[in-house]
This record gives sequence, structure tokens and C-alpha cells, in this order.
Amino acid sequence: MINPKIENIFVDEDLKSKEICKNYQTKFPKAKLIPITSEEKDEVLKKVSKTKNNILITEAKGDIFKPCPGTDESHICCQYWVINQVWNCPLNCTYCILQYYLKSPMIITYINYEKIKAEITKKLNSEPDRFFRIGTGELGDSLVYDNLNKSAEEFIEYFVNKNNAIFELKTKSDNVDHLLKKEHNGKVVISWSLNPSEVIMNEEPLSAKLNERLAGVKKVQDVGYKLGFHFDPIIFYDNWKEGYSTLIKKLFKVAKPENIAWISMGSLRFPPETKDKITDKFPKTKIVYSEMFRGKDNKSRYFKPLRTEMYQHIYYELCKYGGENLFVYFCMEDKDVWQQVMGFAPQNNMHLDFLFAEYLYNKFPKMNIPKPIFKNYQEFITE
Amino acid sequence: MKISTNKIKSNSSKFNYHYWNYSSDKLNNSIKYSGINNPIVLLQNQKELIPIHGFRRLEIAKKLNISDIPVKIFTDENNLENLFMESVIENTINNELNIYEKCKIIQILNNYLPDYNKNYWQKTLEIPLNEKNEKIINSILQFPKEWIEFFIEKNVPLKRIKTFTKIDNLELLTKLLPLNISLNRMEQMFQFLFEISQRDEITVKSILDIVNFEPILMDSTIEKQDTIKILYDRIYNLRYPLQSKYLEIVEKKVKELKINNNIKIQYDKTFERSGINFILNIKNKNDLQKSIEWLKNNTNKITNITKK
Repeated sequence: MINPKIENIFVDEDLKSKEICKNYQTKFPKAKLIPITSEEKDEVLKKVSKTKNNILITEAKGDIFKPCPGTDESHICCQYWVINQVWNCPLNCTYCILQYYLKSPMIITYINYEKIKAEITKKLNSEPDRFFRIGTGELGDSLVYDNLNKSAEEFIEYFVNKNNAIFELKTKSDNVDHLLKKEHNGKVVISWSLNPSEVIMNEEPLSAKLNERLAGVKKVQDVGYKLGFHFDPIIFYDNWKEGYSTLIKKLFKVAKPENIAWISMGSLRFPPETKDKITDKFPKTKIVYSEMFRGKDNKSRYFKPLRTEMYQHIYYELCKYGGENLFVYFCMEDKDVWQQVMGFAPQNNMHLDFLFAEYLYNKFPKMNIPKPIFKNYQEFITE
Repeated sequence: MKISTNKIKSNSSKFNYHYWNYSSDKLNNSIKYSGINNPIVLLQNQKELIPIHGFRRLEIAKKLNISDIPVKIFTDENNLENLFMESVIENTINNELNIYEKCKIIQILNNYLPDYNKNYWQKTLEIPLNEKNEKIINSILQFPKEWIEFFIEKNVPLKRIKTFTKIDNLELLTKLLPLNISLNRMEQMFQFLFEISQRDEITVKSILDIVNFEPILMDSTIEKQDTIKILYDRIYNLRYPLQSKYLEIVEKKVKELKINNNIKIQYDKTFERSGINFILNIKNKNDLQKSIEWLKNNTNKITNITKK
């Protein structure tokens, strides 16, 4: 992985002596530590050049723990919950919507963990019969700076004793060494977003290479973490079939199916107005020139027969190398695609949520998950 | 004061930003009957008198053989930006500037008055003077005259001009202009050509050869509107080959259905929404029975339409 650089470390005045500041200063000795008071914060940050080489260490005022926004009702969404503790990502993948969606390109890290944990506890206690999947990788990479942030450790310690939740860290990095000695009690999934090497080289050039990611997979598997894989975004290119077959073959040489909690598939999608922004920022990328059309949720997606064919191929390969007892699901696809690829479709979002819980309950009995009851899941409302 | 038009450096169009209106009848008639009322603004540059404001009046005066015209001569070059601004404000008040003239003004400022007050001009021209816009403006001004005329005629806003700047070699595409293509269609064709060239790493010229662009344009047996449709469809098929292939198959299956006159078929051509809509025009019981009969007899064929 190409190591991103930090030039300025902005920090709330009263947090400047926190360990995280020392960690960043040690890693980036040339970076300036700039304490700012709450009064001057807005003014200072307005003047800062818009670059991901700046980080802000601060405390969140509003809610950080939220349901994943998913997409509109025409698609099935999995009822995942997100901890938006890190905003933005230094990896600059060409397709990543964050660089166009988040107004400030600065990386923001919230470190008032007790407040965040209290938010989570409130939700977990309010629905004790429901099993929650919760992760930090929605608005940033969970691990790329985590050896400095140490936030994964905070959350792992928190989730160790929670019976109705599992915690996921999503990454495209290989930054896992700091987690290998951590007690996790089987309550943590470390997952990787995966793509064939040629896609990584062209579209994710700053992230860890495939072999580096797979080395990370092996390390965390050896110390008992559960694994997750996200084939998302699946990218169309000339040799996509061979590319994804090779990738899956390599993956299952390392990952043991019995350790895999879930695998998701989702093809490239973005709001149509993002197309020009992608080509302006990455003139060499060809991803926007595929056959894409506006979907039911108004996002540009690959021509439906094409993406269905891609999913069918990847699903076939996953079953071929990983066996049939994998939990494979779609991120933001409609029932029609589910049906065509998997031969069934969840009835609705809560049904999919239930299927996750049921699968994990049966596959990992040591987790002591409360037995999921379908009727209960129909009554949960995610707001 | 009045001077002869011969004394004014006639070939200096440094500060001229007008693309058209030279033959404005209104101004022409006004000068013909009342002469030039507002003096033409000139800059004394060593021995030359360079026009800054009043190009159209000067041109009309020459055409009408008016020898002596009222002028205001300035010698202080430091005052140049203000003089130029006066000219622009006058035209802005009269609402006579189109977007391309505004672009030309920005080009003049960049070339001859590089220290210009950006905020001041931005407000006057109502165009944000940022790096991105200036890049677009400079590329617009590289367009051949015919294209600028097309943009003016279609009243193309600056935001939409970007698509046209993506293609360098316009020589062949200029041949489309006499076909009176709508802005939307032209814009789409440019976008598709650009995207195909990027995707397949080929020149626009090669793409035009593939679609048989020139022979189709030259074919006098094809009606103008059909020429546009043929070219557009061919370019579209190259841009979206898979979808085009699917559509071709579906359309063939639809044709095989032999639909009754009172039935219309609609389906999502992106195939994003599955299913086919049948619109049945039913006037009486007989129509209803016939339609139900037809649907029953064709159930298998219908369900097969959008299947791979």
C-alpha cells in the first residue's frame, strides 16, 4: 500500500494531549500539530487548503451511530448500522463517491468514544431480540489510519460482551498488525473490499494490492477474527470474467469458508452528475464509459443484463471455490436481480436482516446470539 | 472633437468583442439619419489611434462613407481598464452581450489587461472568473466561426458548452451544421463520440469512418431528418452495443407477435424495470374479448420477450 501523508493535524484545543496526536506526530514528524479553540474552529477550517493531507481530531456533537442510508425502496437493503466515526478516506479510488459527496475533503476523526458507545448501547438495549450488524467503514476506510487512531480497539473492547451485535471493520488496506493481539471473543468481522489486480492498479492505486490484502486476511484469520468480503464495486472491463475468477480462486486459497461471515456483491453505481466529476479528477479512468443507465433509484448502473451476468459469474465462482454454505447478498439491488442470480429474493429489507441473523446463529453457535425469530424482524423499524 | 475615419487604425480589433450585429439595421438606420451621437472612444498609442469602444458605429460609418466622426481620445494607458469597462457596461445595460461576447471580453482582459479586477468584472459579466471557467472560455474561442454561430443561434449556456470542447478535430463534424440539428441531439452525439473515443482509444475520425459518416451525409437520396436519425442511431449503437443488440432482439420478438391494432406495447429500453406494458384500446365488449383472446394465445411469446 502507498502510505498516505498527513501535513497538518488540527485538533480541538482540549484534546491536544491525547495519545492519538502523539501517534500522528510520530508517524508524520514533519506534520504540524495545530490546536484550535471551538470559537476559531470554523474560521480556521475554512482557510485550510482542501486536501486529504489534513486531519481533524475532534468530538462529534450530533449522532454518529445511524442506520446505513442504503438506497430507495425499489431495492433491497440489508439494515446495516454504521458508526460514522471517521469521515473521508485518503485512498482516492476513482469511483469513490465520498470525494464528491463529502463537502470537506479533510479527514475527520471523532474520538469521544463514550458518547458514541452510549448511542449504540441505547439502540441495542431498545431491541434486544434483534441482531445488529454494525461497522465503521461507511464514510471512510475502517483501518487505513487505525494503527494511529486506535478506534477499532475501542470498539472491539465494547462489542466483546454484546450478544445481539457483531462489529465489522471494512478496509482496502493491510493495516491489521495492531489488532492481532487484541481479545475479540469472535464478535468481530474484518472485511475487505476486493477487486481483480488490474482494477486495483487502475482504479484503487493507493490502496493495498491484492496480495497485500490477502496477506492481511491470513493474519486476522489465524487469530480467529471472522472474515467478510465485499465485491463492491464490481467493475466491468474487457477481461472481467477471467479477472474475477482469478481473484476468487486466490481468495479461497487463503480464506477458509468456515470463517466467513458474509460476502456482498454490488456493481459500480453513482449519481449521474458524478460522471463529469470523475472524468475531471481522473481523466485516465474508463469506468464511466461502460454501458450504464439510470436505475430505479436514479443512480447510474451497468445495463441490467450485463450486471446480472457479472453477478451470476461471480456467484458461481464463489460457490465453486467456497462451497454452497456461504452467505452471499447484494448491496442495493432489486428483487429481480436477486431472483435471477440466486434463485430467490428476500421479501423485504427486514427479511434480509433476519436471514443474516439466522445464518450467523446457525454457523457460529459460540457467539451466543439470541435465536432469531422471523416474526420479530417484521416488527423492527429502522429509522 | 471630430476626426476622419481614415486616421483610426482600421485593422486593430484588439478590444472588439462583437461576434455579430455589425449589420444591425436599427443602428444602421439611426446613423444614416442622425449621424453618430455618442463619440467613439480611442486610445492614442504612440502615433496610432486604437479603437476601444464603438466598433459597430465605426464600421457602419465607413460603410455609409461618413468621413468625419465624433471621437474621444485618451492617452493614459493606465485608464484602459476603466475605458474598456465603460464600453462593456453600456452594452450590458442595452442587454446586447451574448455569452460568447462575454467570453471574448474575458479573453481580451487576459491578453491585454492581465491585472484586471476580477471581482469587478465577474459582477459585470455575471460569469464566475475561476480557473475552470477560464479554461472553458479559452477553448470556446478556439471554435471555428460556424460553430460559434451555432452556439449563438441555439443560445447554448456556458455549462452545456463543455461537451463540445471535448472533441478537438471538428472539420468533419462541421458538415453536420447545415442539417439544423437540435442542440440536445448534437450534444448527445458529441458526448457519445467522445466517450467511444476514450473507451476504445480511437480517434473521432475513425469512429466517423466506422459509421460511414461522410457517405451518408453526401447521399442525396436521404432526407435531411433521416440523415440525422441514421447517423445518431449508428453512433448510439457504437456507444451502447450491448443494449442495442438486446433491443434488436426484443424488437424482433415484438414484431413476431403480430399485435392487434388496438394493442400498443411499451417496455423500459434500459431493461431496468422488468415487465412489458400492454395498452389495450377497448371500445366495446368485442374489443375486450378479442384482446383477452390475443393475450391468452400469445402468453408464451410475451413472457419470452425480455428473456435472454
